[in-house]
Amino acid sequence: MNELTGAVASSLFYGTALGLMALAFTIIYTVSQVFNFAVGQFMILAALLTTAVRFTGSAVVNDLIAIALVAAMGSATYLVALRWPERHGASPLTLVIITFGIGIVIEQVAILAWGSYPLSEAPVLGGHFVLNGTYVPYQGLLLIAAAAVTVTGLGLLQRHTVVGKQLIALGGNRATARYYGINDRTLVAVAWTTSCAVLAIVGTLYLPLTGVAITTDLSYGVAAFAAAVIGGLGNPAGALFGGLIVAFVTNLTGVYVNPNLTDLLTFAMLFAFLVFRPGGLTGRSIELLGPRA
Amino acid sequence: MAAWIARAHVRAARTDLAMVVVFAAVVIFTAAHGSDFATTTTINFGLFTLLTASLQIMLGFSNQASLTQVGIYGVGAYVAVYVETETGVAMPVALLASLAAGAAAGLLLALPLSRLREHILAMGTLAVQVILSEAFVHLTSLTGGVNGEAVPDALIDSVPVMATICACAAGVIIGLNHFRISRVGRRILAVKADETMAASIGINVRWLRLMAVAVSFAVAAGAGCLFTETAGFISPDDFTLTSSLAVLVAVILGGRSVTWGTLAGAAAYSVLNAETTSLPGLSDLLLGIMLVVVLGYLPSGLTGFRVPWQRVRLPYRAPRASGAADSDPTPQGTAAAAAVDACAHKEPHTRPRILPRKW
Amino acid sequence: MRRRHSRLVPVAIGLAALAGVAACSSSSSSSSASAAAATSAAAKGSPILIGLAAPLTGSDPSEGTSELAIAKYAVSVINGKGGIDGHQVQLVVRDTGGVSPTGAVTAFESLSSDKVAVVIGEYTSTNFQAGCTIAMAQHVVLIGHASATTGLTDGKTYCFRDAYQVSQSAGAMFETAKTMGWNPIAIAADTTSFGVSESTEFEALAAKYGIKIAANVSWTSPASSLTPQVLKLGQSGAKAVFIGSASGPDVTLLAKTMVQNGVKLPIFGPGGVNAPGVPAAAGTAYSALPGVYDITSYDSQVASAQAFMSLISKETGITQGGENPTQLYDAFMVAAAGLAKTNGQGGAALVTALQSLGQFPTMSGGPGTYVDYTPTQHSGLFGPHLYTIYKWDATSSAFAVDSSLSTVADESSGVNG
Repeated sequence: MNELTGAVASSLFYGTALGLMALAFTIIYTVSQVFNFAVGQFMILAALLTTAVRFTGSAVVNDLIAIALVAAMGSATYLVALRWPERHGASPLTLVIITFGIGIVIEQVAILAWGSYPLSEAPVLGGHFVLNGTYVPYQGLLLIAAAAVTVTGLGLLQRHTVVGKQLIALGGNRATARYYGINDRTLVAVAWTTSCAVLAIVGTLYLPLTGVAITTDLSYGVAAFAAAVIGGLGNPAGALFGGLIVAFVTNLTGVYVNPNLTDLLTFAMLFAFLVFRPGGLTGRSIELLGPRA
Repeated sequence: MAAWIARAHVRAARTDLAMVVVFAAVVIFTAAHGSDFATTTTINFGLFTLLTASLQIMLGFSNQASLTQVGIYGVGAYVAVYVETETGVAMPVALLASLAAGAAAGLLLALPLSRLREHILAMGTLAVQVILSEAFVHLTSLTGGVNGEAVPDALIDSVPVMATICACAAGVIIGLNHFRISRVGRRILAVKADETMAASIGINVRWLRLMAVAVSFAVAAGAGCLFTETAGFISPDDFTLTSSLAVLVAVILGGRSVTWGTLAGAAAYSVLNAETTSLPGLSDLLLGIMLVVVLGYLPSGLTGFRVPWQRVRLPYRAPRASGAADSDPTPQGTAAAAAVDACAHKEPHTRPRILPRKW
Repeated sequence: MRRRHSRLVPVAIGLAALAGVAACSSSSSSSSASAAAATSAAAKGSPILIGLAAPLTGSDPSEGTSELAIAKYAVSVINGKGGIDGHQVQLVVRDTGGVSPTGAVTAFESLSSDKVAVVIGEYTSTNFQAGCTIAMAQHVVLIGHASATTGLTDGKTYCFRDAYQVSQSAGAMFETAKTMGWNPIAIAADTTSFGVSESTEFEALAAKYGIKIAANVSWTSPASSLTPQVLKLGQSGAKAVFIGSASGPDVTLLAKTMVQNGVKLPIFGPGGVNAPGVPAAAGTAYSALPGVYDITSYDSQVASAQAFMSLISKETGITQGGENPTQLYDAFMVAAAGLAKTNGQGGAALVTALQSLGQFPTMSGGPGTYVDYTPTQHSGLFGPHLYTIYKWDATSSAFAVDSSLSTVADESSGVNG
């Protein structure tokens, strides 16, 4: 058995999942300067909707329904819980705490509805092929394909549609964008919808590989945040890259050095980047920085 | 100028007196009640208020969010126990050791994180809190590891200790009140309002931000030492990220006022937490809903107030032009076309207010 | 004017909150303040108070509700037999909040301030230790029913326990490994306090049974990725993996990751592999592994324990007994026997009474198992206890008894005193 193959395969899949979650995080951040602390919960909610509430017999249709539902929930969250405080003087920190509260609500409702026991999600593509002793699941390859399609699709939408361009304008300077007549309420809701749709894609495609449990929400959430920061907040390509970096570094260090410190390593990396290169690998998010002491 | 500040201090004494009365009432009420459970509840409330006050120094005065307060609280607690078990000194000396440890930790951590602002600083401190939690678990020779360690000579549920803790809490809040009026306090509030402006008039921004962190962490560590006196037994489970989040929520709930905001935030969060634990299974759900509703409806906190002219009004949305936008599909072109059309139609714009920074 | 106005609001809220907190604490104590005369020899007709500290809220409320149901049933059994020396027993319950020892400390303190004769609880080692500190400070007898870390009652006069200790269950695990020819083995557990102490103890005890530990991997629960740990297990040359403290989701993830990385090793453990929901979630992975063994102690599998659980479910509607249902019931019976000797008085008299009980037969562990407290040892269940070994059957996708394997843990395996 070649552990390098195993490490690379797992890192590839885990990194793609983290990268997409970081991308979802970045979409909301670029448009409204808010950290969505509830990314893990939305992702697992999608998986729970597919698994625990089987709408139809087909895994593909269930996944699509779950994606649509979670995306709708995302925009509902923004319109109901974040829009009013944003308009009435809430600081970005307060909004982050509100998203944290939303995450708690989603987690507790999921526990009340479906319990906290682990569930197994049916993969869309079953089966695997063996490479050097490692069982590479086809579902993982589907995840990577879906990630590629999502990123390309979002990039095209951003560059070639009016909505996409207005989102860019909104991200640049929100007050000025409003001045120019861009309706930021609808657009931020659109951003939340897109973001939660991406999270739902991760939840429905990646979690069959690991099992679904609502209690793991914060572990994924914080890892995704670390990925977003390391890649560079505000840069979608950076987000994906950050996800792969976090996955590869923690897995390879765990395999060749010491597996018991992988969680600590994620936080150490986050801390190191925040100290030495807060803009991440791609150098953005300078609006959140001041002069060094 | 000096006379004016002195008069302001005297005026502030009104609030000081009110604060002393409130805490004295709490202590007397609890002591009269007599049950150990009430004493423990008040002690927990007093310690939580101390932590909230320590975060108020960082966040309310200096706009530096922190999710490490409870980690530093733990550092203070472990240092106090270590000092007491290794050298057998009395509590006041251990308290000094904790305060020194907290201040040192503050300087150590503030320097590397000094570039960060607002909520990304909060995330940096989140990483520090988790690293501290792991350190408490893994450095078994210093902390006793996951099994925790017993505190020598702890006085569980003693009314004098409760009175001391409440007195310290009242003292720190009174200190904050006068700090706000003092020269240094005004300087630090100027930095909070606008850093660049403050630097341009000669205020030493770096120094003030570092000192805010050091003092804040010293207070949190001191609270940790007081905690050991009442707990009898400490373990890493007492110093988790969730507790740090609770402190941050309490400060944000409290709002703008540094004295009443600290007290109101700590009280409100304690009540939210206590009231909801009697309903099994729903307690965390209610807490989450409360967080969303209370912060959503009162985004400036319980003591924040909204002056009408600071409210943001969205500008009137210009109607989409018929043909001008299509001719230039770049974002700037579309926006420019929309602006042109708006002017052409002579719709009255309301002047957009840029959202002022509240924290 | 506006400033003054808005400042009064938080003052009012603050005072109201403080009043509310104080009122809560007073109302919760006043219900038993009327029956507060239990420490001195009970007067005729006044009830004897027994306290229960249980996690009614927090991360595992189902454990708390099960404990409450069993406690009420035990009290009704005692009262049905005429109570203790003619006095009825009254149960006083306090919620520990489930997670933080601070909550446990508060619960234990409130129980001792309610003047109970004896306190029973809590089920995690850290919380039990916190309770021991209060017991020693307040001179209230504490009987723990579940925490398994060895040696927690050493030197603590007022603390007792009627639970298996890790050193005892280690014997069963290692005997199984020897029978199956698994040497060396690897240990996999999370980093909760119980997980760390259990893993450390296992490593220390392995040599006694001639088993080598090839690797000891851990993770912070809940885990989102266990690939490095699994690959380390594969590299280590271990013949089997012992799964210590691990939550259901972690076990599922571990099993799936093992299969994905081709680490085909048998796994065994004292219950984590068969935690609720895990067989359904990890079933396909289990079927792909060379063997999954659930090694459970008598407590949940023996006929008398099962009869007890069906009786409990009939009486109370609870179908799942919580972590250690028979041990909790036994704790109440032991307490009642001790209190009968002291006529309802707690404190130092109760300590002496419990130590002089001799071999007190328990429902846990089946026929012949007993607790026996002496001045130097306050912990553990003695007598022969049999572990039942369940093996995963891929065809039926369920665990079934493997009758070719059974382990008897002998009385002397690692027990103190």
